[in-house]
Amino acid sequence: MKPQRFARSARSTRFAGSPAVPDRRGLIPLWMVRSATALLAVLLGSIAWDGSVWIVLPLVVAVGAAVLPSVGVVTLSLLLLAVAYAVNVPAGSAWLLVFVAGLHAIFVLYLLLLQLPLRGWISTAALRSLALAFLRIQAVAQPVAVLALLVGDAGSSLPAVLVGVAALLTWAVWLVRERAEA
Amino acid sequence: MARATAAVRSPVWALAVILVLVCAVAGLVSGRPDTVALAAPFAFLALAGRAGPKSGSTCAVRIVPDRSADAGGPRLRVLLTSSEAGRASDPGRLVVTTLAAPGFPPDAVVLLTGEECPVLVDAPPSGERDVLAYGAASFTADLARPTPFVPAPPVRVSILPPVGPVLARSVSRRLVGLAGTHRSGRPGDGGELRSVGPLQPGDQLRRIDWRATARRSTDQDRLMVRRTFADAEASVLLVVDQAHDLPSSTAHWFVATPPRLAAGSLHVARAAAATVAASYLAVGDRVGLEDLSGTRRALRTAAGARHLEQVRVRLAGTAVVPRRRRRRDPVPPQGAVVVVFSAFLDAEPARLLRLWHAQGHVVAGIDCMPPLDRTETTTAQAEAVRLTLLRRRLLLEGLQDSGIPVIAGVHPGRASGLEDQHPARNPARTNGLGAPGLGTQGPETPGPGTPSGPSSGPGSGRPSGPDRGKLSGPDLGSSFGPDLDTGFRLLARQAARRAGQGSGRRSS
Repeated sequence: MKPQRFARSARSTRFAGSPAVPDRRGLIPLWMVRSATALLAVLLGSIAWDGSVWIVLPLVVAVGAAVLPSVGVVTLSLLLLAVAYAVNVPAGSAWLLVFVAGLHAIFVLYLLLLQLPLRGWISTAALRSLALAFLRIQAVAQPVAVLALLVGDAGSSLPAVLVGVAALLTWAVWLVRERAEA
Repeated sequence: MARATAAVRSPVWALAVILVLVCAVAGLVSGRPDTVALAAPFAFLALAGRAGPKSGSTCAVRIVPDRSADAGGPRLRVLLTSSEAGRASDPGRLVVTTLAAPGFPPDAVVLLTGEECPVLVDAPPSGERDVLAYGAASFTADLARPTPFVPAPPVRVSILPPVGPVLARSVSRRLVGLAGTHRSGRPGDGGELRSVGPLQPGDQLRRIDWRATARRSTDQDRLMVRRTFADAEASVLLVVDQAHDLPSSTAHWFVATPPRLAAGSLHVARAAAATVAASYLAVGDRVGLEDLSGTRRALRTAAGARHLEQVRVRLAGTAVVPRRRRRRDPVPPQGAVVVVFSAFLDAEPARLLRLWHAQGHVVAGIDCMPPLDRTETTTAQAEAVRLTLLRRRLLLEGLQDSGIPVIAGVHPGRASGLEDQHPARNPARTNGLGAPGLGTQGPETPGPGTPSGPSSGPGSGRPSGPDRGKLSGPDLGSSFGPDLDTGFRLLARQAARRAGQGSGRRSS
């Protein structure tokens, strides 16, 4: 690559050195995104683990996943939240709608941060694009959640479980095959 | 430009499928449809990602100089564009550009395809350096179909060395040029009167001095002509030692990490050489450029403003190159002034200076050691620095003892990118070149071979005789000799005095 020639004289300052920084508006530092992610995870965890000493565990994992994300910690944090909901939140609770949106948002933010170094910036246009994709999925997921609330506690039935698991596995295999073919 | 062409695996799809399975199985087992509903968003994400990574896609990121605005400081402004100019190949994708300035951890900038982002980066004070390494990856807004991270060629800039104020010009007595502003020692067309005498064959008629004829030829039988010294241009050879680039912070002498864009001895050499070149070229003299490493072809002596740009561009291109064995030493043009820019860490520059001095050239050494920041951390490092500086000081003192002037290349507070922070460079030090016979030719001047003038007095930092072994640490780290302006003024005065003595002998 041919060097760009800058016919500018050196300034009369000492060059202590500083990192490259963007010089425009509309950029949000990643530490704000990390903080928002950790806060969201802590809030969801506090709903699911309300009144339990074990709340410390998902909170620490959530903060760790937001600040220093890795696949393992992110997976652990998401599973802790999902399992905590299934175990601690009673069936038919209206918190389901919050959890469906919150868990999805945390998932998106975790996996966004997973691909980025510790420091950085994200443009508001990029965040808006992420939010639009999030809302598109939520537009379908929220009615599903409302439907689940309407069905209420269906009770455990072995045939239903077997059929459901079989359907799920079929769906998963189809997904994997589709992806492999792509 | 970074281009990603291969597919890449992302944990998004796998993690979404895992969450769907966990939530659905837990909901089915416990008979809770709401738990199954938790998996809905992840199921949609898994569906969106079923197409797999985008193989063969491109993620184009370019960084170009931002011509629209100046950074307004010692930093460069470059423009990061997340798609090829005028072509948004895949709108809606997020482009993650990872930027790394030398010596700093990487930062990321996440932009939407088609967005632009100006970035401020540190620039070297002079020279050609990589100022920014970068690469890019991209994915869709639902985090699917990622492209792999692809590093791009680093952003490399070339900063021309600054030109300082015009210096005094010393010239050789043996000028060989045919046009210029300096008086040569031979008869010819010029401005300075050499003699008035009778017209002889070969004299031009326009040289007839009618007043002298009327005054001195009473019988009107002889015509008197004015004869002048020929004007000539001087030739200057700048020799840059690019074997070392000594950082000002001594702690950086011992680290192997990527160097930050700080000013080092090579920058001092570039700035001083550009100033010297501009000073001579401004009056029509010829300037050439040579490097001690012998890796590039020398820039032949030439004159003119365009040549100054060539010299600056060549200087900007100098980087640290190990010195290689040369078949023969560089040969300066006849009657040239030879200026060697070096940090004088080894004996080679001093040897060449002595050689050219013995050949009759006007020579000067420019000490390019930047003001040192003593930041070494261990005793061994401190000792190594001290021994290096001690050896350097002895080399420079040896040069002065040989009658070769040594001038500090750091111009205090002017355009060199370095501040003069050294209390050791006191006014007494800048009063004379310190070389025997240069500017201190009074009756009280000691003879050749002994330190002379203010630079050898108490407190001047240059011990003599038995004090030589007691060089103190802070003093060793200071630049040697007077500053560039004073040094060249004294050098020019000395050269003019020698030339005057020479013409006096000729006229007598």
